[in-house]
Amino acid sequence: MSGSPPILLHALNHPENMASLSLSSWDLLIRQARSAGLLTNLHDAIDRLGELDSVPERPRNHLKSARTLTDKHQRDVHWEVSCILEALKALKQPITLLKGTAYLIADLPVSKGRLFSDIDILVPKEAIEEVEQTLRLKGWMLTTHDAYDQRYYRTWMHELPPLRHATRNTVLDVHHNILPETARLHPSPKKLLQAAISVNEDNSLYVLNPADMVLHSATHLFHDGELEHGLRDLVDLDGLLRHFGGQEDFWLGLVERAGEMDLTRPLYYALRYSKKFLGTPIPEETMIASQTGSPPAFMPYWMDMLFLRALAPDHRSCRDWFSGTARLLLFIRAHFLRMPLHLLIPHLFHKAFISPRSNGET
Amino acid sequence: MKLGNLSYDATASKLTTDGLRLRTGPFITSIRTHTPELTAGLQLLYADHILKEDAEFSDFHIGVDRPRNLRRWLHPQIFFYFDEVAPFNPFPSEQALPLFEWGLNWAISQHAHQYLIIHAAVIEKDGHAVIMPAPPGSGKSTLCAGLVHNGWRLLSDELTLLDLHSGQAVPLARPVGLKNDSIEVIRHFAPQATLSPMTVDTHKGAVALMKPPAESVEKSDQPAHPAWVIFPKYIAGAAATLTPHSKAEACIALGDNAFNYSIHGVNGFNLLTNMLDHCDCYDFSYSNLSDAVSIFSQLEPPA
Amino acid sequence: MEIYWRLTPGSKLTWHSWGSEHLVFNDNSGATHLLPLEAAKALQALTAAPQTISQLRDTILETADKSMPHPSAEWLEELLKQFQQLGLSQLISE
Repeated sequence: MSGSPPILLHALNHPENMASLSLSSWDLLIRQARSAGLLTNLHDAIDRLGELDSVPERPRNHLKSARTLTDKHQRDVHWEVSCILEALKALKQPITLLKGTAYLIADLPVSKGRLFSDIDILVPKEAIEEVEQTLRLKGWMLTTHDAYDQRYYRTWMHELPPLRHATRNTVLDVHHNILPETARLHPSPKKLLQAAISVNEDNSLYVLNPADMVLHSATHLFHDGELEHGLRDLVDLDGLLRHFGGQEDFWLGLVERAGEMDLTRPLYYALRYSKKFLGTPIPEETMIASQTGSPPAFMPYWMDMLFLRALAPDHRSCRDWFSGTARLLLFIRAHFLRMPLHLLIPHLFHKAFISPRSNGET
Repeated sequence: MKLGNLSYDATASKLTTDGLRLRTGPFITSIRTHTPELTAGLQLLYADHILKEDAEFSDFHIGVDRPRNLRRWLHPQIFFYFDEVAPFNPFPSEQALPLFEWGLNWAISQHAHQYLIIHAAVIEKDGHAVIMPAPPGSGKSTLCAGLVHNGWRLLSDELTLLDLHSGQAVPLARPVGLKNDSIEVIRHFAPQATLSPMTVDTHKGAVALMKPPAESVEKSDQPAHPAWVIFPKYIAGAAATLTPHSKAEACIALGDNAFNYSIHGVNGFNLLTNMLDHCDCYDFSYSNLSDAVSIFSQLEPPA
Repeated sequence: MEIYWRLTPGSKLTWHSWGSEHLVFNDNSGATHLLPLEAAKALQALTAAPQTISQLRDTILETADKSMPHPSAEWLEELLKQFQQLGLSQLISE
């Protein structure tokens, strides 16, 4: 990368400096933020300081425009969650929300800037067939009928194929675990559900407890995801850590829980990169304790090379000659971590040659 | 300084280095291209537009170019780039100019949520604006092109930008897109109009762009209050007739024709209903531009 | 057991009318609906309190134009089901 960190990172870490930014810096900042999916976050960071009116008019319009879009999105998510609850009412099966939807419904500060496409829920594996049947009766449809894809999701992955609602066009991902059966790490979904916290009066809706929420975010980012919005997901993680960090025993509990859930490796990366990129205030003892999850000796240096690039905004101004390769290597790694080689190779072969897909579908 | 004061070479130089920056209504657009079709097209159609050479901040960064990878050698195809990302499939290179116009409209409709943006033409006279929503094929662009050469000021032929606070329509004053027969119709009806070369597309047919009248561009910083919502429909042989249209149905139609009505939620609803409180709504059928101009010249603002 | 209909909890409706045409915007769904007079009255009654079909019918008859045909119970039932589809109403039994 061109030596100095992207202006977006500087802005996220020091929103108080934004009022004095030059117009040409704003030009670059708006573009980096938009491509990283962090334009609304930037709006909010400046607004929280009461400095939005000091931003010059043109960039300010773009910040406010992003906020308008996110407000709409959040109204939609609230509505969608109520529709999902209504649809599944008769089953009396509690639903646990995951990721962005959970942050929003639990009203966490980190939720304010988020735009996300799908709604993710977690249900026990035993209930998944019933949940799927009910959803399909109430207007949700499978988005793929390809036999191979069906098997990929149902047999190997931790979720149903995505379901799309016929009239509202919203997408719902129903998970029964946070990592595939075939993955190297094996967090227990039962433990996640047992420790989940109710967010409504009739206890039909839950979110993961704070440590699990952080671990899930870390796992998604460093073990499961394809890093397309890596920086944005890292900003979420940083937000969660800062919010929960003030709770008593949070840090100790986090490390213990990571051990219990076989997620020490993602936690190691999460803390390392959140601190490196976003200056998350993590207690020293926790950083040391998380070392139990570190990979073999030389790996952190190598992983730094990859993640430093992959977590930067995916904007031309932030790339160097190695960025494309870094993203590719991490993409391969993500797949490798999801499935052992003897399943992965035929899977990739199938994807490449037998069922060419349009962009954007996993 | 206006773009018309720049030579072709100077224009091309800016377009191929750090971008040609133009004021396009409320926005500053930075444009980059190596294609001669777009370079010449901009010189022709944006001659009256103000150059923002020193602008440090551009609202939109638009590119129209061949791909940077090996595909550039395969077909003479070009992509539309929004901040260096190509969101759409490529087009034949002779369509660089219409692609730029269509792409910039897309960029505005996707990102400028400080406005309620309706897919409609909007023109103004004596401080009162007419909004003309219409699906493709209704003849709205032809009507719009004819009217702006007969006493009306062009705000836009495609995107009506409504300011959420003031309710006023904000001008863009950009080229008007004409298709197929409309091109000849306007050549006859308004011989003083400047038209771009025609390009042929397998889907849309023949397309040409009409330069916005100089006065419309000069006044592109002056918004206008809507006084009429008129739904035009070209019907061969029809006499030019205005028929009252229900305000409530007009409200639904405007929402349906808007790009971001749902994004604004109740603010969008309130904007449209308040606007319609002060507007007269009509259906307008016509077959002849002279008759249309005559009918429009007789429009009285609502009491 | 009486069957009541109610406005979906948490609904925020904004109204605007011109003559006998009534527009209502539903914050939850983001949808705008154009309603004839009787339907508007039914929805407004629901907003005030949960209603049975016969209560709704009475409310509408009170203010209706006496020369217009009165809405039947079946028509009202159908209307409420449409409202339900649109996310505006819910059935509750008491």
